[in-house]
Amino acid sequence: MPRYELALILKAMQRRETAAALKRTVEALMDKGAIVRNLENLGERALPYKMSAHSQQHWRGGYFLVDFYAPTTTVQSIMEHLSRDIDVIRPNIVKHPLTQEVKECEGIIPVPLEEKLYAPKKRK
Amino acid sequence: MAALVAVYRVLGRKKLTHGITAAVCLPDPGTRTVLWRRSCSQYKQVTSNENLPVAMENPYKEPLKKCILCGKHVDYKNVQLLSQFISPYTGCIHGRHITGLCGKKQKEVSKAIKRAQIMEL
Repeated sequence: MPRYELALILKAMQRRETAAALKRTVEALMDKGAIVRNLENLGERALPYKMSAHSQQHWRGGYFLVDFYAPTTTVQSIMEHLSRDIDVIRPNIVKHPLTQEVKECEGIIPVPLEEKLYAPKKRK
Repeated sequence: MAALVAVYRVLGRKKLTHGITAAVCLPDPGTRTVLWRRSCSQYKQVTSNENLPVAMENPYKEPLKKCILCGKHVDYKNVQLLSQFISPYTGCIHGRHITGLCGKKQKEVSKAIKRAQIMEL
């Protein structure tokens, strides 16, 4: 079951270096006991705003997405490890969105206008 | 019958039915009580007739109106979709009266926008 998703922003580098950095991060994840499921590349693009990380400033970055299964206790240590890495601009671990069930949305239930007429006054 | 009339005068109009049943028990034993009781019970059974309408759900009910995102999963990663719900000039999230989404979807969208903003997407 997909548990966590890592939205990783790496420094804009040459292809070999990005490959090496990715390999390093994935190996670190596996050492902590996470099972990597899938790795996606969202492309390299200009960052929405100038970021400074590890005493360096970046304008461009490569976006990568890693989904993995991990025990809940190791998530903290993974975050710490990634924040220490120089090539990583910003790591973000999030619960996997596809695990959340899509509730059936029946539609907009029409509210009778009588209730709206006597709506309680909003108090600040 | 005289006894009944006397009872009626004493008790007053509201308590008439009660008075009748009570009076029936006391001074008129035998057949008259039986007749009264039977007529009362028959009067109640008139309502359960077969020709009356049967209670059921409205068969001509239309399906409820759905918002544009109903049933679709909202992800923080599709920035293009989320950027449609924010103002191009100020960047603030549009209210429900502008987007026209249902309550749940509006909340999901706003949460996803916040997430994407924090994660620089």
